[in-house]
This record gives sequence, structure tokens and C-alpha cells, in this order.
Amino acid sequence: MRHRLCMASDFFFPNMGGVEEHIYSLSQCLIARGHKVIVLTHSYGDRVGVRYMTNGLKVYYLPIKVFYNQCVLPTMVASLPLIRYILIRERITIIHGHSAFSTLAHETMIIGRLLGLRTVFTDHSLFGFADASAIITNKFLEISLADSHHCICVSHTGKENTVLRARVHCNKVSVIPNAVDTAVFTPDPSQRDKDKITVVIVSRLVYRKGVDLMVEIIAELCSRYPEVNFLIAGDGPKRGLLEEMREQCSLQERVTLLGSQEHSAVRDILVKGHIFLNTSLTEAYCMAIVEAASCGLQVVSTKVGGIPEVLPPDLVYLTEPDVPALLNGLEMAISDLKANKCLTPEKCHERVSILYNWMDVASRTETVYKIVSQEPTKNLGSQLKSYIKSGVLPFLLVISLCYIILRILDWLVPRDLIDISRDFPLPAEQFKPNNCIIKQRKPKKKRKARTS
Amino acid sequence: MRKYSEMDSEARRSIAGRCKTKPKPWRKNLYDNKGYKDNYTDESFLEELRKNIHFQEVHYRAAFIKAGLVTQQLCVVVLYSLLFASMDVGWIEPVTVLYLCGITTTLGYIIRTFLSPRFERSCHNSSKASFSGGSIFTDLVTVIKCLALGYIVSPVLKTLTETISTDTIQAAAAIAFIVHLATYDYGIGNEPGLPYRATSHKSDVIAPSHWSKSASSSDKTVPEKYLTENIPSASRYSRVQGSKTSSLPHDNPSRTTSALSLNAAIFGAICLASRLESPSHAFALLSVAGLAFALSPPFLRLLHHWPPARVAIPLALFIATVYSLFICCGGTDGEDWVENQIPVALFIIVVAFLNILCPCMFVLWQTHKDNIYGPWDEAIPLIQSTAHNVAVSD
Repeated sequence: MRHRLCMASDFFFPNMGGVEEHIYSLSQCLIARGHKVIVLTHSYGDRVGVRYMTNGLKVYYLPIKVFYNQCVLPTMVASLPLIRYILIRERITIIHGHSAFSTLAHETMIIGRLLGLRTVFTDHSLFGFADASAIITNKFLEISLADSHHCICVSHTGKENTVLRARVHCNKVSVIPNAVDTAVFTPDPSQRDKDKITVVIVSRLVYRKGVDLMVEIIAELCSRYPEVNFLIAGDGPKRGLLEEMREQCSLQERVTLLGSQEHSAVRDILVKGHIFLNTSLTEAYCMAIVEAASCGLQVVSTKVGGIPEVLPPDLVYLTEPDVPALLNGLEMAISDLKANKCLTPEKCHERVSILYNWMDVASRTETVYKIVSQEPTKNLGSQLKSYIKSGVLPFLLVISLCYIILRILDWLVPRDLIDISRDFPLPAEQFKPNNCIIKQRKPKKKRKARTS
Repeated sequence: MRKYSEMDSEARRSIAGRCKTKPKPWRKNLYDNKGYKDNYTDESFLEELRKNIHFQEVHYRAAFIKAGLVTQQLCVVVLYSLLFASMDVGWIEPVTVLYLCGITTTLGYIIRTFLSPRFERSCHNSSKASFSGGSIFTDLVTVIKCLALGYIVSPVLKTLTETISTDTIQAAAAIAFIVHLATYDYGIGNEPGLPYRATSHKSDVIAPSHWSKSASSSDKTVPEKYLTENIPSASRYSRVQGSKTSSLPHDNPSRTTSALSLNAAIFGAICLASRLESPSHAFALLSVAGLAFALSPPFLRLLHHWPPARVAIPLALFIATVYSLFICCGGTDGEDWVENQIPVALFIIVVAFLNILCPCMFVLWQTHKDNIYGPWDEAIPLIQSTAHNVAVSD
């Protein structure tokens, strides 16, 4: 069955990060599997309007101003006409929202449900329960997901977190991990320094990535092992800490700070190293360690969030998130490397490419789409009933208002006056995983005949 | 919490029945659960959830003593306002106030000089900071400087708010004093020697008994390489808790709040002083403000090192305040003196609420504390305080 999907999220290219990667790769694989995919995001600078990316991935950069932290202000009603127009114009059947922080995703999902569409939500992050901001964010998530058809989490820890935060039923939450493009992240041992050991760190330099730990570890390890060098890619507010440590310990020769790097350049940095260090303090999935393992590096990582679930024990050294434990892990990695006890880079790559690939992720996501598309359509009353569960009754008024506006819009801008956009031609022959796409062409023609 | 487990148990049983043919047990990882559905929920779901790890039980005694601090500060504010009122109507001359102020300060200074070395070792940070003045001479210079400055600017203060109505000023002062009370550093948690009977690390697994698989038993399945230190998961969180107290000395929130508190009180004092009839009135009231809001908190904190004082000082202040309020409201003179004494009754009710009802509610409602922790929580890095790190983090 061919779905018409709308990926809705505040986070998309040209912004960089795990969510953006995920949406792009998943969309590409779904297109290759014969689905139609559009992406809905807010404008980035002068990037407003419609853009086509590889294989006809259509991206709508909505002219909405960013409010806080790359998110739009969730007014619920202000962007409703525009979102409705796009959803009808593209004949969307399933809305797939990404990231709990993305207000645009929640808004689109709520509007979509009122239009009778199915919604799937992917949660990419973990969140605590202790402080006031967490309590508020969790309440918002609970409201937003009260009526969602299905949720996807990137790790089992993420699922536990989402079930607790948003109080969704655990059978409505699937765990589908992220993947890594193993065709890009290939090992190249010839790039490595022959008589030195290079430890690579690729992360944004922010508190959550454990830069404070990183600083201590680098200073300590450099004094213990004269043959160890560090290569750090990434930028952020905590960069000053690293620079200061480098000055004070006079490690300018041995600690290289590359600054912010394009994602395409990451592979070339990774292959220069022997060991990859991840000091994150919280992480739902951690793509970086999978990329590193795919490039054949020994991975030393903190044991937080979903990280213990990601790689099998022979590919990663897991440690507690403190300095002595991480140093211990690094020393073990170094001694294994010297004794040649670890897996060869090629072997590592082979193992990771068996474990993770985007096509597998896409087919598992497809299963979720299949489940939600079989669910019955809810009318306004039963939708409102599911919002009552969340306990925030004023929100029922918001939903009702949205519904009334939608009805007014049906009269002001009738559906049959909205242009139906032409679909991008199906991708080239080599992308087709099997011949199922050819079978699906017939009903598509019929549909076109009906609409015209 | 119980809701989830009840909801799930039925669904889980049906899934378990379907999965009987698959011998391979489900494992909590993302790579080898082929054959299980993506929305499969295992029995181990939420196994690592912990509740109330950092819970510290507060007993009635501690709660009442802590609440006494609030009462104490409230009394100081009310006494100050009463002083303003009596100066406003002309019952007290500014000179009398200044004399009293001088005598109190001298007395306090002498007591402080004798007491301070005795408590030096256990002295709280902030009280140390404000009392490490050195010799009497330097302290005297500071006092003269402050007084001279106050004397010079008091004519300005007098006319500062002339264009603003008295109601507005009184409202502003009231708000400022409320802010002062709300943000005052009551020293909760970092006061030495208070009878906190800490029952920390009291964690209970909330998973129902049929999920029973203790957290530590799962460690057996972990390969050797998997862990560099084999710590049962329960102790992991307590370690995190330990590090929290040790690694964050810079983030003491009381510093910022006590500064805000002092500023709010001085703002309120200036507002009130500007309503008085002459610059000398304003100067006297401001001097008392300095005494009441800047000098008395560290002094009282010092006295609190002596346990009986924790009860005695708030009690004495309370009685003094009630008496002064009673006098200011006209005592028992007149026919309808009961009606005039409404402020006294209000004050007693407020103190009763703060000092009896609030601590009781706090202690009783501790049972409702329901903090949940789990592997999704952000780890708190344990930073060793090496020389360069201290330099960096400052």
C-alpha cells in the first residue's frame, strides 16, 4: 500500500543534528520503497517556500518565525490555514511528527487528526522528571500525544521514558532505532597515524555532551600516555574550557580542535583515529558511536540513557559517567589496541552494517504506518474524549476552536478549489527494492482520473 | 505508576502466549530481537525505575525550627514597619531612634566579637564573609562611611518620591518586603548541626512483584568487557547523588537570593523613608534598615549556632512584635478597642499558619513525594577539583 506521508518537524536541513539526519534518511528510503514523502518545517533565514531535495523529496519551508530554540510559537490557529492547505494539496494520509521539542510537529499532528488523518510521532530525546521545565514539557507532550495513533522511540530506554512522560499505552509505542549509512562510513586504516594513537571526539561541545569530563580526561590521559593524541570535531559554548585546558597543559601539539564540521566531513575525521570517545551525560540513541564503530574505531562511551542498547559488547567499552571510569575504559582500549586484541576495522564495519541500515528502519516504520492506516477514523467527540485523559480541560476548547476554524475554512477555501499538486516521478530503476511499485502504479492512475 | 502495570499485564500475557514458539529470550538492546514485534513490551519494562532516591525525611522538630526562621524574619519586617508608623505619627523622635540604633549595634558588635571565634570552625560561609572585617578600626571606618553617605543622601531621599502618591509607595514597600521574605536565605539544608535525620538512598523498586527480577541480578549476564567497574544499577544512582553534593559548590543558590532579598528590603525601606516629614527622620529609618536587614541576618545566624536560640529568638521576637503591635493599635483604650486590635489578631493568625500549619502539612505530605528516576536521567558528572579545573569553572 502506498502512503502519502508528511514528515513534520521544526528541525530539518540546513539545521544539523540527529533528528535532521533521521528525517532525511528515512524519507529517502521511504521514497525508494514507493511512498510519497513531503517534509514540513519552518523557514530558515531566507530559505522560505518549496524546495526539492534528492529523489523529489519535497520540503515546505513555512514562513513562520522562530520563537525559541529553533521552534515556532505554538499558536495553534495562526498557521492552521496554511498547514491545512498543504495537507489537502499533497493529499497526505499519514503525518509523522518528529522530536518532542518541535512545536510545529505537534501542531501539524493535531490539525491533521482533526482532518481525519493518521498520526505517528517519533520521540528522539530523553527527559527527566525532576525540574519545573521538565514537568511543563511533559504535560505538553502528554496533551499532544493523548490522541496520537502511534509513537516510535529510538531505544527501549526512550520507550520507557516516553510511556512515563506522555502516559501513552506501551503497546502503542514501537522501538525503531536510528541507523547509519554504512556505505559512507567505511574504515580506512591507511589514514591512521602509524606510531601514535589518536582518540577522536565528534560532538557538539555543550554541557549535555559531558565536555567537563572530556577536559579532565584529556589532561590526565595525555600526561599518562605520551603517544596519545586527541582530535576533536565540533563547536559549542564549552569550547573555551577545552582551549583553556590545552593552554594550561601545553598540549597544543597533541590536542587538535577542528571546530564545527560538515556531516559529510565526519567520516574523513573518524578514519584518522583509533579510538572514539563519547562522554555524553544523556543520550536516547547516540548515532556518533555507531558511525565511529562503522568506521572501525574502538568506541569508549559513558553508560547513560539508551547507549548500552546500541552496540554489542565486543564493539564498545561502556563506563560509568565519571573521570576514573572513563580513563579506565580508555586505558583498556589502548592496551587492547597495543596487544592487537580488538576486532579489525573491517570486521567492525561488517558487524555494524549487519546491525543497522536505513532500509530496515524504513520497512519497520512502514509496518507502523500499516497499523495506523487500519485504525478507524475518530470523530471530534471521541478525539475530545481522549484529550480529557490528560486532565487539561481548557485544551478541549482549543481543539474545538481549531475544528470550527477548519469548518469555516472548508467554506471559505473549499477543498475542490485547492490545487492538487503533481507527484514527483517515481525514483530511478535502481532504487526500487522490488517490483511492488509497479503494481502500485495502477491504483494511482485511477485516483488521478477520479480527481480530474 | 500502578496504572501502567495494570494496563499492560493483560496485553503482555497475550503477547507472551504468541511468543511461546520463539525460544530466544528478549533482550534490552536494539540489535538482536529479530522475531519480536517493534511494539513488544517485555516483562523487564520499567524495571530500572526508582522512586525517591534523594528523599530526606524531615521530622516535626526540624520542620518547626525551620519555620521559626520565617517567623523571625517576618517579625523583623513587621517591627520595622511599626517603627515607620510610629515615626510617621511622631511618637518617636529620630534622635531616640538613632541612640537606640547605636546602642544595639555596639552591643551586637561586642557579642559578635566574643562569640565569633567560638563558632569559627563551624561558621557558615556567608556569615564568615560578612564578619571577617579585621580590627575594630576598619569596622568603625566602614560604619562612619555608611552613616556619612546615608546622612548626605537622606535629603534627596526625602524628596525622591514626592510626586508619587502614598498608597503607591506603601504598596511598593509591601511588595518589596514580601519579596524580601520570599527570597531570604533561610539556610535550608546547609545549616550545620540541625537535627536532620537523613534516610538517604531509600529507594524502592516500584515494579510489581510479578515482574520481580532484582536489578543486581541482571548484572550477571553482562560480559566482563561490558563493564570496567561492576556496580549494581541501584548504587549507580546513589553515586550520582553523592557527586551532586560534592561537585557543585559553586552553584549555591542562596548567594543570589540573599542579595536579591537584601536589595528588596532596602528598596522597601527607602520607599517608606521618603514618606517621613524630615531628612533626619529618613536618615534614622535608613540606619535602622541597615541594622535590621543587613547586619542582623548574619548576627542571628551566628546566635543560631547555640541550639536553644533557635527557639528562643523567634519566640522573643514574636512576643515583642505582638506587644508593639498591640501598643501601636491603641492598647485597651476606648470603647471599641477589640476592633482596633484586628491587626494583632491577623498577625497571630499568619504566624500560626506559618509556624504550625505549614510545618505540619509539610511533614504529613511528605508521603506524597513521588519522584521517579531511571536510566533516562541526565548523569551528573563527578568532577575532581584539580587546580586547573577550579580555575576553569570559576
